Amino acid sequence: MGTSGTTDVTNPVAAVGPRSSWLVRVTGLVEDLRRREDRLALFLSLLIGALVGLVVVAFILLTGRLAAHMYPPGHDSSWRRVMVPTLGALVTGFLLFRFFPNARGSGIPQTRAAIFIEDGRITFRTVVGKFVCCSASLASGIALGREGPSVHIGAGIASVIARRLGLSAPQVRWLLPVGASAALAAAFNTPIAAVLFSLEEIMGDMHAPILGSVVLSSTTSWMVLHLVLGDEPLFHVAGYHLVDPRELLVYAVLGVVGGIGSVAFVRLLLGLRTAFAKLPRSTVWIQPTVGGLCVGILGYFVPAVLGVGYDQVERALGGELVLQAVAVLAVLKILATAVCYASGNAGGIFGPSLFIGAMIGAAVGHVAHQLFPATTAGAGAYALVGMGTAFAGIVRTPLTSVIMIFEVTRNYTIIVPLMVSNLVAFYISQRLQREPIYEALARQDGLHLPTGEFRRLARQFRVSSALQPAPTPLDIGLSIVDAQTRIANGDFGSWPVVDRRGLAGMVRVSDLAAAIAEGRGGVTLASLLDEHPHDDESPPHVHADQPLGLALSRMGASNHTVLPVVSRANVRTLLGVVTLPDILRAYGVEQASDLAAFDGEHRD
Amino acid sequence: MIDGAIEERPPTLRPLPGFVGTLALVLLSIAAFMFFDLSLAAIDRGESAAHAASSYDQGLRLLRSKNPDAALDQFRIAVGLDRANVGYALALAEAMLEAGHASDAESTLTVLLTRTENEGAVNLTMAHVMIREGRTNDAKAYFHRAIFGRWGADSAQRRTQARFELIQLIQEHGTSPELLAELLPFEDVSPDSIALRRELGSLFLRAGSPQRAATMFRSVVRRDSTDADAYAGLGEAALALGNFRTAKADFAEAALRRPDDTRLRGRVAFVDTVLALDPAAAELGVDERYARSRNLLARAIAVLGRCGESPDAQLSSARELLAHESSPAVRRAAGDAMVAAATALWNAHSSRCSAAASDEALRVVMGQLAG
Repeated sequence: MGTSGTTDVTNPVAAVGPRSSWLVRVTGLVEDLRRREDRLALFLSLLIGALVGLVVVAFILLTGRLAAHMYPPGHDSSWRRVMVPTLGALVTGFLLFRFFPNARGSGIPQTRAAIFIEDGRITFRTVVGKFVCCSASLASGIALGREGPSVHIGAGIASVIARRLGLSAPQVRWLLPVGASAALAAAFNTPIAAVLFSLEEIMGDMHAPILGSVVLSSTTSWMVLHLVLGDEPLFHVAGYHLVDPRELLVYAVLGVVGGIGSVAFVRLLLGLRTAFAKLPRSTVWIQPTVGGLCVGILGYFVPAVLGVGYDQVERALGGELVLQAVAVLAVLKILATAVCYASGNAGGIFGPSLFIGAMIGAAVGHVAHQLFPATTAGAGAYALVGMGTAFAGIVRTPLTSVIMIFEVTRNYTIIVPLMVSNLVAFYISQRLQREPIYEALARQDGLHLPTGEFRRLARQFRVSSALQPAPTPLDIGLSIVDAQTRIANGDFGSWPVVDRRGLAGMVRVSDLAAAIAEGRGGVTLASLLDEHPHDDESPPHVHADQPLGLALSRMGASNHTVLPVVSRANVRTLLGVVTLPDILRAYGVEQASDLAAFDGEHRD
Repeated sequence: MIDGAIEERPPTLRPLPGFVGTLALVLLSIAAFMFFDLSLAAIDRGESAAHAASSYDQGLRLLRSKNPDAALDQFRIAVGLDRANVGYALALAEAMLEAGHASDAESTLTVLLTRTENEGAVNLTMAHVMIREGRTNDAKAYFHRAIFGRWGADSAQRRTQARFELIQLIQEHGTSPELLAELLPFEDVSPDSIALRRELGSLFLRAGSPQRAATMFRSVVRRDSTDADAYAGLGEAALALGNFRTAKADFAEAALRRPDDTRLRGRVAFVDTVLALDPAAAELGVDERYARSRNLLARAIAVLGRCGESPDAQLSSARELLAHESSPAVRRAAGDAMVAAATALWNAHSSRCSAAASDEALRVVMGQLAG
């Protein structure tokens, strides 16, 4: 309101009064946020990072409290160790069957399926189911991990928020890795590894354009974790280092053992899953109980098999466990995790991979230290490297595993042995078990997600694979008649035109013929090019490293069947040309006539 | 999104009220979860701290009842539950050391020292670990860090205790200058600390500083004239300074205050032997002085002869001197020559001859003459 008592209609802020002006400003800000995608993405990454971080911290704390009630300190009895996981699996098995069928298993293949198949759709019910069932199941001692479910929960929260805001399907899809990385950063206290895992495993593309959003959400979530739980690494490790350069050979041996152990675990898990899948459909609700009973029986004799087992990992890292203990724990954990997962319990294999790796590493370390005490570190150092080795062998994300071990332990000195061991395990695992575990699990569920092999093949179809030398270009000063004379014997539908600076454009043979027919044969090519100006300063072109699909798309847009391939350093430098028949040949279609024949055969 | 991955405009963005409502719901959820997490974390931390304290107490009990292996487990639980507590980690390291796992204790303390490098107690325990591992030089360094490190209550007493432990180590594995360097800070220790001053007197003697030792013992005697040990210490200091008569008087005072002590009586007799052997004693006649010089040279030759030292020119000329009885007119000069020969012989050979140390009275007199 104006001070004079009259309404200032030209100033909406003044028109609606001080209180309303505040509202107008906020509305304006929100409206601006809605209209600017980059700002909205930034804002949502922060929100999702914070919320997912808090939810995952709640998940961790709640699981811990439930476990404390199920196994109260000072009331440890052997029978409790059998009964609690069995009953836990029975209850969660029923809940999963009856109310939350999509909350089964790890959550990582499900997250990938949501991104690549289901337009980023993960329901709120699934998020709740994953939270409740995993928390109860892990607290009861089921030998699975919390990281995979956290990833599913995080991606699910991102999906729910994005869909409630009415974002488009591609936007929802892109937000899932943002939620996933926030979840992993909080679950594992590893913000960098979370980003890498989201790109390397979830998206399958280290150069995914969502990097900025993923980093932002991961960082926010990690900050929330520190705010609530403080600054403590997941594992506390002594300052291990390479004792002697020859020790790298022992770490390579660890890579071999870890690789073989990883393959054994993956094959056992997949085999058991196949066996469970063959059981009658009516038994699905009780199948998790088999896993619970199995781990309960193992826990009766060896309590350390129960649960995620990070306390035992910590002891192995400290070199506190003797050879027999670590060997037994490695074998039993492989068995317990495989049965628990295959029988349909809720939980992941991320944590158990680290447990198995730590025990295998400690076993190798004990043997090596007994044989070569002067040139090898203690068993703890090998347990540390073993964690990354098994992770690289089972999950097949070698880069993530190196960074993750560094972050989990905050120990940099062991990185070189870790890389050696990881690469050996990764290679062996790849040779012995062709399909990575998450892809194999998805395939068992009937989901055909884009695989690493697919991405490798996609990368093969580049412009460079169809590139051929450029024909002698036409000078821009030539008359149209002279130009047509020059190209009379050529096979190309379009021809490059150059001026003194290099490539000036492409001219269609059909346009030359049309100009001559119109009686304009005497004018120069420059005037013909001026009649068909480009959208931007450069003529239609592609670069050698671009996908062939893009070349096809540009051919369609520019109506040229030949595109110049130019240098990235200077788009006027002609490197060659790519033609439509060349592209078809690169895809395996030899001749245009072949297409007709193929078409004719299949029409019959 | 941020990087321009999604280029299309959202076609179905919710109307503004719904959009704002969803964002408000998310913000509300963040606030609710923050409250929930902080509450749960606080409960968790409280329970963990109580559990850790109980395990720590149990560990201490086990350690006191000489059961370090069982104590280890309890301390491990305590450390696992409360990693920020330096006391728990220190107790774990001490239990490891007690249980014979010195390298584990070292690893634990190494990690602990990264965040408590100036903590006196941690450095002191690390020094104990180093001693157990036979790394005396490292142990000395950690003792120094403990002495100059941070202590809580009773810091002066704990520092003194740490320094005395270092002194003990240096006595076993160090040199006199090192020992003296550690003792010097105690020179102006409070006069009330009689026991400490008595102890310091003995240590100054061992460090080769009899003057400082005498000062310490004298201050004790001034406060307690019945202290036989202090008189004995004064005697030893006087002996080391070559004041044999004063030493005899001090030992006699000590023996007077503790007549049943045979060791003290032995020291009086010993000083008598030294006095009888000393050719440089005042008020000796020429003949007596000559006789003592001759006796001294003969004992020196005998002692060094027991070492199996190969005869050399020095030894031959000394035997030559001893072979001839000098006439009374030249006895003063002959006595001086014999003392000089004995001193030269002693200086040349005694360091290689362990038997030389066995004749304590001779060693004291020769030490005095050489000094």
